[in-house]
Amino acid sequence: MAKTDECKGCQRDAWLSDEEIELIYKNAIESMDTELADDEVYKARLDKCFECNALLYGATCVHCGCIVQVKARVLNASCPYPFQPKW
Amino acid sequence: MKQMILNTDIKKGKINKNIYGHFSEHLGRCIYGGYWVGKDSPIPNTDGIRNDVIEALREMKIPVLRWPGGCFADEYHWMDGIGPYEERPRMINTHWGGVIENNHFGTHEFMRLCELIGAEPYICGNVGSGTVQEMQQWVEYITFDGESPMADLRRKNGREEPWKLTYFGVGNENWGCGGGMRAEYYADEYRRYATYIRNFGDNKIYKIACGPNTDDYHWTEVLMREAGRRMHGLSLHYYTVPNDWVNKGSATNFTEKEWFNTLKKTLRMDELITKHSTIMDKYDPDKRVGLIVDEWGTWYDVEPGTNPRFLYQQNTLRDALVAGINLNIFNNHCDRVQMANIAQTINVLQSVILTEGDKMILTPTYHVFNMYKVHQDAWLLPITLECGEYVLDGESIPQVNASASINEEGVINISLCNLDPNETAEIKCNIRGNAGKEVTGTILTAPVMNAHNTFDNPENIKPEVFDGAKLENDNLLISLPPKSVVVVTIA
Repeated sequence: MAKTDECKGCQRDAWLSDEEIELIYKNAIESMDTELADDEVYKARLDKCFECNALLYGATCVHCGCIVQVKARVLNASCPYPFQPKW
Repeated sequence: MKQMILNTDIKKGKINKNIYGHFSEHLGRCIYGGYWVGKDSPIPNTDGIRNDVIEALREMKIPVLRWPGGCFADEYHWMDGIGPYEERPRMINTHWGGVIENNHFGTHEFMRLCELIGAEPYICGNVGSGTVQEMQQWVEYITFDGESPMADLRRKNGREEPWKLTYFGVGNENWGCGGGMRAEYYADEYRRYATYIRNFGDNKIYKIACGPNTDDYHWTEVLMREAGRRMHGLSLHYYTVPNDWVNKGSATNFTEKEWFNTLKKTLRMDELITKHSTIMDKYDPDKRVGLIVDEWGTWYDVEPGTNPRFLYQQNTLRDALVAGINLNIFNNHCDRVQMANIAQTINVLQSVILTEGDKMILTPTYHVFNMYKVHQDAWLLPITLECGEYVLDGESIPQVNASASINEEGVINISLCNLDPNETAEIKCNIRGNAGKEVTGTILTAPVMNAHNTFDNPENIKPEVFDGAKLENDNLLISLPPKSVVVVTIA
């Protein structure tokens, strides 16, 4: 549905579709000048994220607001879980 | 050399400390994770509220905090947020991402937060989807010290004494997310709701009506004409968006043109206040009704890789300039502007604080608020400024933006922003009247326009001692570096 005049875009869902996650991932990685984790590290990190109680709405970390598929791909990123990073 | 005249013997009015206020909504990680981590969190907290945040906001002298929204306010039912946590209903925050709201942060928690940070509470009631009775009972619950169903309920929930509550908003953005009303309809609704907002005991409520969006002057005209005598304040919302609402622009990756556009758009606040005030003057020449700019600040695209519904954005030197400029504008309009609330304190829009798990950083905007706190409740001094222009691609805006005040001890503070990212502003300020002889200063600047703090480098940009000002006879000579915010003190 088309947005109305000066809509702030608030009435949208925090649950993201696979297509939205893919687009966010693509745009984020393209905009970052950073080294990426290889697939093995990436998968290990994501496994931790998906079993974590801080994961909200399927893909969002409650402690940083990040889409975990993006955060886990950044090599020098670290898990923001308070005092007990999972990776 | 730019010319400036400062009259130290003419006080133009008191700068209400509430101009330095803030706004926090149930949105993204502002309330949950920003303030509230819960009593069982490993993050050090007092009654569930982060200690690091409490300390930072106390240091900044936050004077007033608006809550629970925002758009959220017009779908918030306060009774969901009282009583034992396990009995509080879980609801959907439909305005902001359809996220689960467990109501663990409610009235008691907000009032406790205000106590801990030393701010006055400003509560926004629900007109859009609430009832007159619900709003009436909320005020009774908070402020009534006698025997009544609501006061008894408060006591049952562990609070014997009523709280002091001065500021109460009768709805939020009722022209939009707060009900989509016409000004004529809302004016009548305001009159009805406001009638039942009672003063209990010695608690006196300052009633704030929903005001216009940006340049909706018709709204101001109608509200002042139909309800002006029944309100103490009228709100105004204006956000600085570099591009447009669909593609707002990046918080950190921007060109000089976008820097220029951002500052040009933020300077529009002066025009908006002037024009809305002119309408208000027609119905309220004594300026009894305050203009309450209870949502303002920058609004960019969210940080790459973050949930787009959480409105999390970084904060650079550009935001420091936006903050400094707007606060100067509010100071200079202190005859009419009685409060302003930047959106939204922590982790949302132009924040002063960002958190990530147990970590917290202060943004350039925080540092400006901390530098400018010297103006709180001081007396505005008139300034005449001939500063020249910052020109880019054939467009121009004033190069320097400033305000000045004198406090009860006779200390003068001048806050200045150099909007030009390339040129120093050499200013000769003629001081007329009595002034001290000792000049000190603080500056916030950086080598690049998009300098910002990160969790890995939290002090990349922070205030430093400013030694670019000196007194020569009756003149204050100031060398204002490019893209800087400076506060000069004469004591």
